[in-house]
Amino acid sequence: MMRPIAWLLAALTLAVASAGLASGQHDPGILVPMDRDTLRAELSASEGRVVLVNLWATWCTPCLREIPDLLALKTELPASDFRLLAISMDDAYSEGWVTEFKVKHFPTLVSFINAELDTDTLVSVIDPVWNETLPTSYIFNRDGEVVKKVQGKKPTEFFREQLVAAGL
Amino acid sequence: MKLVPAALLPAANAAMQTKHWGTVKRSCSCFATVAAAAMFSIVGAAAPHAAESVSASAVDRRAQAPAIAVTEDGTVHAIWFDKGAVGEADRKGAHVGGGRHSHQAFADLRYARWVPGEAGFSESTRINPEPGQVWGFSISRPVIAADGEGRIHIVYPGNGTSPKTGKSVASSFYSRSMDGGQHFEEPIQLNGDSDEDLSALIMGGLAQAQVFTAMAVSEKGVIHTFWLDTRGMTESMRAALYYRRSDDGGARFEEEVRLQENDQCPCCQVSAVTGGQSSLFVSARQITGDNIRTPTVMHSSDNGITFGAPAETGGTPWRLEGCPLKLTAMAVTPDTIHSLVHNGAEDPPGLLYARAAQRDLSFLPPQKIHPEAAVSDSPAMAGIGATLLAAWHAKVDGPRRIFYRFSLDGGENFLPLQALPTGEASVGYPAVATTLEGRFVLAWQENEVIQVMYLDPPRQGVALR
Repeated sequence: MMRPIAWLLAALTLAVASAGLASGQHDPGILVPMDRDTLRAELSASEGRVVLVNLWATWCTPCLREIPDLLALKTELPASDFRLLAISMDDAYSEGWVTEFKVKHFPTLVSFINAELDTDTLVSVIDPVWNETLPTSYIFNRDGEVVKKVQGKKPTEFFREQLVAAGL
Repeated sequence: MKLVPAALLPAANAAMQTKHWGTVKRSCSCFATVAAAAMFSIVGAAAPHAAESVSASAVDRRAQAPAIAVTEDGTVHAIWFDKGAVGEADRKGAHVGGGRHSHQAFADLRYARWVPGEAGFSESTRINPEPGQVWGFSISRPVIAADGEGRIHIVYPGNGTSPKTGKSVASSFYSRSMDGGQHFEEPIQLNGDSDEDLSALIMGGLAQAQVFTAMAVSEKGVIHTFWLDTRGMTESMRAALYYRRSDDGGARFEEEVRLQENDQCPCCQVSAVTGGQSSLFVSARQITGDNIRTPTVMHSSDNGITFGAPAETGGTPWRLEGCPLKLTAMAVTPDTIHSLVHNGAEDPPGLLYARAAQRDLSFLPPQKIHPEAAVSDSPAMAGIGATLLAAWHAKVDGPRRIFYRFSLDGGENFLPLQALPTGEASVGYPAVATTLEGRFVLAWQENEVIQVMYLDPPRQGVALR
C-alpha cells in the first residue's frame, strides 16, 4: 500500500513514463515507484525473456559494487532475451535523493523504487520467505518461473552461468 | 518457484484500511494463536494472560524501531524513530551533516511514558535537540534502559559532521533523564572522532560510522555502551567493536576502548545485557573465514574491566558478501545466558536459539525457535528469574506477524507459540522489557505506529519440544 505522497509520485511518474513501463525501457533518469501490482505487471510483461530481478539500496555497499557487473551483462545480452529489473529498497520517501544518487553513479541503470510500506510486502510477490538481506537477486526463466535466488554480491561469471542455466 | 498466488500475499491495502487500534484493543485470542499452539505437543500448557495494547506514537506519524524500559515504579518508557508525518516526503534534515550521502536517514527520536493507572502514553517529546539529527534506520535501533535509582538511559545513532574531515558521519549518542522521563539531558557523543574519510570506500557514503549501538545498565547504574565502528575499515568492509562505560549513572564516561578489531559485521546491531552484580555480556556478529557471519558472545565477569574471548553461539555457517542487517538478542536467567539470532543459511532462514552456562559460554547446539515459520527475524528476549520471553517477527503462510514463546525453566523447554492478532497490518521489530512485579512488556511497530502491551507468563504448563 502506498502512502499519499507515493501515490502522487507514482501518478506523476507513470504519466511521464507509462509508454515505457512493462518493457524495461523507462527513462533511467527517473525512479519509478513500484508497488505489488506494478511488480506483477512488469514480471508478466517480461515473460519470454530471462529476467534478473536485483534488489539494491544506496546504503548497501556490496549492492553498489555489484551493479556495474549487472549493467555489463545487460549491455552484453540482447534485450529481446534478457531483462535486468532493478528495484531500489530505499525508503520511498527518499525517492528524490535516491534518484539523484542513481543518476550520479549509475546513469544508465533503469530502476524502480519500492513504494510499499515495507520492503517485505513488495518482495513477497516473488519470495514470501525473503529475509531482507541485500543484495538479493532472483532469476526468472522464460516461463516466468523463479529458478534461482542469489544473496550477496556475486561475480559476473556466476550470473552469466545462472542466466544460461535459466535458458538464456 | 512460481509467483505467489495473490490470495497468499499480504494485503497491504487492507493493512492501511485497518482501523488503528487506537488506545485499547483486545489480543491473544486469534485463530493463528490457536492454530500455532496446535502445532506443538502440549502438556498442560496454559495460554498467556490476554492483554490489551496501547499506542505510544501518533497515528499520523511514521514511527519505527521501538525500544522500551520499565522503571521501578512501573512506568513504561518507550522510544522510537519518528521519520516524519505520514505523507511527508524527504525528511528535512539536510542541514545536519556534511552533505548528501548514500547512508542518508534523517529522523527524530521520540519518547513517551505510560504511568501505572493511566489509560495510555503521555504526549511524546523529541530527545534530539534539533530536528533530523537521528540516523533513522530500523536496523540500527535506539536502546533505552532504567537503573535502580530511577534514572533512564538512552543511546541512539545520530547524524553529524566530522570536525576533522568536514564530511558526514553517523555517531552514537547518549542521553539520560534524572526525573523519570520529564526531561532528558543534552546528548553526548560516545565515540571519538576520526580523521579517516571512508566516503569513497562506500561510493559517496558516510566518512565514518559509529552506530549499531548497544547498552546494558546494572541496577546500581553502571552503564555499558558498545557500538560498531568503521575506524580502520578497509575494502573488506569490516567494523571494529568499541566499548565505553560509566560507573556513576551516566554523569561521566570513561575513555572508549577498542574491544574487537576490524572483524565484525558492520551492519549487524550489537546487543548487551548484565547479569548479577558484575557480569556483563555483549553479542555481535564476527566475520570469520570467507565472509561467514558468525554470532558470538563475550563475557566480562568484572563489570567491563576485562572481557573473555568471543564464544560462537553455533548454527550453520552463513556466508554472505552483503548486508545481513541482522541484530543479535540476549537475555540472562540465573547462571544461564541465552542467545537468539537469525541465520540466513538455515532452510528456511530463521531464528536460532541457544543457551550456555554463564561461567564458560559453552553453548548447547542451537535450535529453531519457530520451526514452522517460512522466515523469522528481529529477535528480542528478556528474563525474570527462570522465566524467559522470546519475541520476534515471522511469516508462516501470510503477512508478517509478531510471535512469542515463554520458557519457565531457563530455556530448557519452551511453551507453545503465541501470535499477536495483527491481521493484515504491516508489523515487525518487537522489543521487550520486564517489570519488578514479574511481568513482561512487549512493544512493536504496526503500520508505523508503536504499540505496547503487557504479557504475563502462564503459571504452569510445559510444552514438549
